[in-house]
Amino acid sequence: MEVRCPMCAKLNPEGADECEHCGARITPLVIGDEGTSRAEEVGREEEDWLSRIRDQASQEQDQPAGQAEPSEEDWLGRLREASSETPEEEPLSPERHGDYPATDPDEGKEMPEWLARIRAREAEEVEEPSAVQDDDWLENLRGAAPLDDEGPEELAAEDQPSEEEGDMSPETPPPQEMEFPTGEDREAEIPGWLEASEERQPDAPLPAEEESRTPDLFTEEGAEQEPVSAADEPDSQPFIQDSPSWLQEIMEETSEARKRAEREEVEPSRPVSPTDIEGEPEEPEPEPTPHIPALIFDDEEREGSEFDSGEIDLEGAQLPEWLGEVELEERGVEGEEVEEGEGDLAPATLPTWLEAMRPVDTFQSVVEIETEEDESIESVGPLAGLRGVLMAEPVVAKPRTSPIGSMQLSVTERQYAQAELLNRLVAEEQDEVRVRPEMRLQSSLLRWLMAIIMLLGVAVPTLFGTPSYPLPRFEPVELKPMVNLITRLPADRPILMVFDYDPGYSGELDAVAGPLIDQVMRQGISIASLSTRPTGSAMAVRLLGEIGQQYDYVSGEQLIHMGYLSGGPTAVQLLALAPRSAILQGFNLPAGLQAGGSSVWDTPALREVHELSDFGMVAVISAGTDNARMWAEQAAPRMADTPLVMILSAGSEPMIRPYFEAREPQIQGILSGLPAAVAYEQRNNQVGAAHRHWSAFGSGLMVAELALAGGMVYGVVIWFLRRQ
Amino acid sequence: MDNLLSTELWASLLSALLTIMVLSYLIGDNPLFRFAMHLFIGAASGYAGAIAWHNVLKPGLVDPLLSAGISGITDPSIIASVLIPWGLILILLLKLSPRTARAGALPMAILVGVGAAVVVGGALTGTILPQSQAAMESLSPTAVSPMTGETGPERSISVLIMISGTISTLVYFHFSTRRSPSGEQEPIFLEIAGIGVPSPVVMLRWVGQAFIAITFGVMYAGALSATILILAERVEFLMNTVRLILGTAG
Repeated sequence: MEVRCPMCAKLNPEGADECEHCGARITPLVIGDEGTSRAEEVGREEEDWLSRIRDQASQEQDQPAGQAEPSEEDWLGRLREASSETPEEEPLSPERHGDYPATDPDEGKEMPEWLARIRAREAEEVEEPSAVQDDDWLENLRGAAPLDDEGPEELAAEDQPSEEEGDMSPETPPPQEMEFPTGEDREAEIPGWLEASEERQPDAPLPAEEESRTPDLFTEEGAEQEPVSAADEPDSQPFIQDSPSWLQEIMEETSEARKRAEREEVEPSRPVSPTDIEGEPEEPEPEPTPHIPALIFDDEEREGSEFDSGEIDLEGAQLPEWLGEVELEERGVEGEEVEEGEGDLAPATLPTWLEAMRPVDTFQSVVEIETEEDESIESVGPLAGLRGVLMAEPVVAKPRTSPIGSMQLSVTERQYAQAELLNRLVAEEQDEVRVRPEMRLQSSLLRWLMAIIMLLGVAVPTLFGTPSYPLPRFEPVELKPMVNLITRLPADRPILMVFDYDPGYSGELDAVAGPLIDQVMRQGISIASLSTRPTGSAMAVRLLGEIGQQYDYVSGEQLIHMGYLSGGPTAVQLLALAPRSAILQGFNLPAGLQAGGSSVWDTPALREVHELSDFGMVAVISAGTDNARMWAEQAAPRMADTPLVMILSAGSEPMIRPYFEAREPQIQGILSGLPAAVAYEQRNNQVGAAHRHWSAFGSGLMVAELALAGGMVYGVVIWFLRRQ
Repeated sequence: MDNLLSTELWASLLSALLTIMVLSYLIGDNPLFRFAMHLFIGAASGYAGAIAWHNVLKPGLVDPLLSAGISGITDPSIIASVLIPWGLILILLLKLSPRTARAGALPMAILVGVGAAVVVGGALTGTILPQSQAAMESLSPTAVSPMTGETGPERSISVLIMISGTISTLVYFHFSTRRSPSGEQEPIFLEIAGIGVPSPVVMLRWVGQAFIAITFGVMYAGALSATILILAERVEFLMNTVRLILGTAG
């Protein structure tokens, strides 16, 4: 049978140690035994300790009464049962240590020194049984009671917290340092099962390290022991049957390895006994892997003990060395008999202090699952007919009270006071604060200063005539077309003047419109006034009457006030289409006309006017952009050749100028601002309101410009300083 | 004595007094200013109501009905010009009560509908189309402006400024630029000698923003000059009133 190389995975002849292809080692090197294959060595190790177990088990059967009898029950099961039972309060007593195999002085075994010391100590501590009342397994060991033949139950019970200690008791004393009894005492107190294990392997060599607490179960020495097949030894049959499955598998494997070894005629190594280490010189063989049972029971008290009834008293049992057990070395080295029914790998038992920390009451290691017959069948919903469906309706829909009691809010005095304070603060926010009267007189100094400066700048030129600003030498570009337009107006056709501004703008617009009205009146052209504002008619009456006095214009003849045109853009469009339908009544008509029930259309000036285009010119005096645009949009398209002229405030002129400067202008003339008015008056060779206001206007503008410049400089300086 | 009782004097005094009361706003909101404002609003409202009645309602709705009489009610012209408007007015009065407010929706709908149509139509035919055509000016130096008479380079420059201002202003109001993922509003379009150059659209937006700022500045300057002129006229009026009083007293 060829073997495959672990490195290159190529086949090599059976038994080859090194690969022929890559040179890697096929069989791992084993220290101390270069001539045997690793598998054989491992098999030999397993068989050795296993054989010890079997020997011990067989010897237990041959032991006299008092020792532990092989039990047909599973020792692991007994451990479990013992752990589920209430811990017994049996203090450790020398008799309870009968589980431990006691050395038989009659047998004439030679005990190693260390083991003798342990036994001696235990013998000393047996005299104080009262001191060993706690269930701590370590304390039990320290009590140096003689090893009893107690079963695993006692050991488990020993590990469980006693009633005296209490569960999770913080007062559980920590594991104290173990004191191993001396050799003589130890020899007297070794439980039977330990002795039995020693007897099974009388020739088992002792481990090389005498003081080693931990038996070398997994060393090569243990592995070199003669493997004992469980099947070959009939004495071990009950032991094998009672062993757990994993142990049985191991035993079977070792038996197979042993057979292989026998076939190849490999001399099994002699098991190591404790006596060999002490005096007899042994061959330099690797130490067998010592056996480390989980629990060590005394065979003596097996009869009639809990062991037979299925219970295992673990109080007297000793735990393996890796938990601090000493007796395991004795067993592993001398090959003592192991109590039948006891496995090497017994279930681990928790020490008392650890067990005390475990919430035993609440922990459920086994999950209970309902059987199918117990599960209810769902009858509604998409899961109808299925078993094991969570009942949503009775759980969710069913109203139920909370299992937790209602929690009442506990408010401390401090919290209450803070809540009151907060409530008071919120209430105070809603209270109105009375305005202090003295605060109304307070005003900023800067505003007062600017107001005084502005008033003086306007009043001084008016009062004293100085400073006097020179009149403009250049007239606006649009002034000349305007003047020419008015010059060419026919005298028999009246003009329509629309007064669409508020009384507040009369100071400006009266000054700007004055020269135009003066030129029109000088030419003797009749003027009809109209307004889309209720107060516009009164403005028209005042201004036209004031200027008309110079040219003897009479209201109702040369001056016709058509009144108020209501309706906004719709009325303007109606006026453009049918003026007689838009204006039904006049304003401030002469008494004669009013008494006769006549309308403005009956006057001589408007008798021939039927459409808007019948007027010689339409002049709109407006302070706002909207009104001017409205007339340009609604009236201009329906005026045919009749020119439309705008007299505007300086602020609205930029928005209306595009209508004047377009390729096809909708406005034929525009007049805006005091400079244009002054230039117009100069053309007319007259001194009107524009001239009177010119100096004050210039002075006021100068003050405003200086204030703006000063503010800009101040802002720049502040910005510069803040930046730095 | 007659001068003291003349209407002109008392009117001047009253006007001066109201003027001073309004100018008292310099010291802040005060009872004099409030009285003057209340007086002006009340007088203006009353006067407007009187004008509306005498110039609109009475000659349009009352006098024709009275003159036509009961027999003239069936006249189609009376029906169209008097009765139907009266009906709409009465229906509009139903909006005073919440219960009958829905019934007054008809005259409101007529008012709003007709007004909107007139405004939109006027804006379209009177502003948008003509102004759009006006923006398509020729850059030829030989062209002459019809109203201003500008020609030559002066006119070309004016037209160029007008076109650039129109386009840049339209771009400014067009929200085509988006913020970069880092939050910057003007992402760098190109780097020249280490200097980040924004996109042409962004630069054009800056130009439009400048034109708008200049326009608002000019409008503010015009409003300021109008205000100063009005102030000058009021100060002159006050002085004339003082002279009148002094003259009368003297």
